[in-house]
Amino acid sequence: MDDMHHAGAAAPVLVGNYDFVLVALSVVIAIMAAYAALDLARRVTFARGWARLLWLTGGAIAMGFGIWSMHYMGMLAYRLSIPVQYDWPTVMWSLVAAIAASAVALIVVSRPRMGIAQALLGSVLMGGGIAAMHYIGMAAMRVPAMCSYSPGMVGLSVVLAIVISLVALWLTFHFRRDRGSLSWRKSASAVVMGLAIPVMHYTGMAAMTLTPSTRAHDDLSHAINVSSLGVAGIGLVTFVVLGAVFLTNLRFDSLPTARQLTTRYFMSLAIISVLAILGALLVEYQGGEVRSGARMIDIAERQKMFSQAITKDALLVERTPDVAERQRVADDLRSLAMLWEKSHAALQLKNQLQLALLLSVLGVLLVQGVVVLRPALANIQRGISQLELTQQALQRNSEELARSNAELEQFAYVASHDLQEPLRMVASYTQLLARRYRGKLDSEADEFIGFAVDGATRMQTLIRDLLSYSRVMTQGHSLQPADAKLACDMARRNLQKSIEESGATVSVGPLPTVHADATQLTQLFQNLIGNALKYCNERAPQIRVDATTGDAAWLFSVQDNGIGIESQYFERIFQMFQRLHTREKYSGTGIGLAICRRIVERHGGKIWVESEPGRGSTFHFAIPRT
Amino acid sequence: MNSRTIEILLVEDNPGDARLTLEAFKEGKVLNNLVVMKDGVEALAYLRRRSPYATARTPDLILLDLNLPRKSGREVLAEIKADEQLKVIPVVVLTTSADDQDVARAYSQHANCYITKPVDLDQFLRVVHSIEDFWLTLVRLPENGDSRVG
Repeated sequence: MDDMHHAGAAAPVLVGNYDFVLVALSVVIAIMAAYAALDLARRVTFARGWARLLWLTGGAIAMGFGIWSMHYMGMLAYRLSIPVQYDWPTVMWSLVAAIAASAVALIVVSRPRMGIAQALLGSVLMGGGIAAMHYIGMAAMRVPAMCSYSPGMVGLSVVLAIVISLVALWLTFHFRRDRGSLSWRKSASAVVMGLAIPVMHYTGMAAMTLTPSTRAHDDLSHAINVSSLGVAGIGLVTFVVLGAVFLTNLRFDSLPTARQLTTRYFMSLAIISVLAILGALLVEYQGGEVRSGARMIDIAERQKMFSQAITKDALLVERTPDVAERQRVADDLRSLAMLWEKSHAALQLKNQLQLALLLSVLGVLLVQGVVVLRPALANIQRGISQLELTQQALQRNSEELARSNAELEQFAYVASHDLQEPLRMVASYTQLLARRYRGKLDSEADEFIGFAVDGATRMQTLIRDLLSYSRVMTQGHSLQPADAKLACDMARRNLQKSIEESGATVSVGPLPTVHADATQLTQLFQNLIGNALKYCNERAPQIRVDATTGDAAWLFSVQDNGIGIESQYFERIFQMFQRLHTREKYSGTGIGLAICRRIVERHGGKIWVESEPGRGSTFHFAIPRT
Repeated sequence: MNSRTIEILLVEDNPGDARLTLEAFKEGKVLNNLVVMKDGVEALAYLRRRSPYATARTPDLILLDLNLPRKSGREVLAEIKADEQLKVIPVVVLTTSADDQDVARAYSQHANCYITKPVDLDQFLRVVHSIEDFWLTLVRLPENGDSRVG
């Protein structure tokens, strides 16, 4: 700092020693900060727009605070025999430098690509930022001594800062996609980075030499003592900030218990923080006592010297002191002894309290680790295994459903197929009986045979319909571009006889080509037009087939002027074997519309009806466009 | 040709169906003799005049069901069409199966025609009469050995 003072070769050099608890703490903080950096890199990388800016800002602050806090722990770990104070505005500037370095790092690693040029520039900026934070932080020290720096060590520490930044950027960039909160790769790189940062820091510390000087003329107007309270505060805030990064990561993974855990974490931290701050205040208060005690020691020391001097003087002059004087000296000595005792007790208390405070900071770490994180991890584990169980159950259920569905299809098909054979016998032979013996037996026999023939025939129709219903799924062809116009024309040809008999007019508008099973599309038109022909009034059926294009589907309509349907039956008519009329009035098994619905659903579409009784119905169906 | 009795071999395991076919041919115009074999092995034994069918007469027309016990109609068809003596006999596949694959396979094995049995009696009778009209009246069949002898 000031070469003139450094030049005094004879001046004794102040040698500090390290408080290893704080050194360990600083390493732990460095590892946590590195871990937070890895997490944050992923969040910044995958966030967009405002969220990205938010993550970048918050992340830079959290990470910068972590690095800065590590640095201060390292500074405070360095114990000197002279009182050390800090100039707090300078300290704040060093925090700004750390945050800026973190921001640079997060920007570099969150970019889609990281070339050599970017990596080098990024590490120079980041390493420079960290070095700047370090030396600004050192400049904040206010000691009654002259600081001087070894240029070689300073250079080494800057180079280390840049190299470590390069490694950190590389690791972070490559592991930023790791999603797991506790992946070993991430943990390992956090440990590597976390161990490397203190190496740089302690190299920087070693670059400094302090020479005691009463002529140190630093500005002390903003100087503060970094008390135990300060250490505790920095430690706590660091753990809270870096812990929060870790916890947002838990929440991000959207586990059901994460929110609850976050609340629990902050509550326990709040309680610990309050306790620690109360403890620290106590220490601070006691510290005041101790300081006054120290002052008293000072006075006592002087008085002792004084009284010794007096005694010596008295001995020298061989004068016998009078009673009052002797009494005064005795009182002085007594109060001196009391002061000694009191100040010694105060010093002991101070040491004990400082130890207690450090233990409480470690306790926060421990609580975080044991009380919060362990059950958190257990909860996560439980959540994951529950999720897996649920998924497995879901999978089993859907497989079961698919299987039972397929079985049902198969059953319906086989049943109706195999039922046909014996039924054909019954129907054929009752029909043969009717052919050969009608009028040859008595009228009752004719009637009985008539019922048997009718029943067998109806059952045949039912089974045939059931079979065609199950065939929609089991025997369907793949969906291909199919001309709806062709399908509709085919349906009309198949219904030619009924159309002629009823004197119906069937007009067809322009129809599109759709992605469908052409055979089923024909069946669909045939069933709908067939229904329109069947459920007609006295007047000749007027049937109109049309199609319009919707957003995602083709909308077809088959409109008639028939008897119509009451709105309460709009849903029921599409169910299997649901009929609204007696067989005498309108024949049929009530499966036609059920088949229609099944066909439309197989195509991923929907079918519905609009109708007014007595005026006619319009059946709509939608076939998705591909 | 109409002057003599037409020999028909019906290979059908369902007695109800066999009887129905018999009844249908009874109503027909052509004088015929319908022999029923209940499975593929029996049918081939009959065609090859193996015991106990040593005196069997070679049919003019074979009506063949596909689903048969012991030896399926498909195998019977393949063996008939691979046999120099038998392959000249027209084979009408008359079955309940409407399966496209069955149809394709039957023709690829040189079935002469494939008919799915109608479910309805009237239609069934119509089909049998159509078979009769076409195969026994309209077309000219090769003279078989038996008729030369007989």
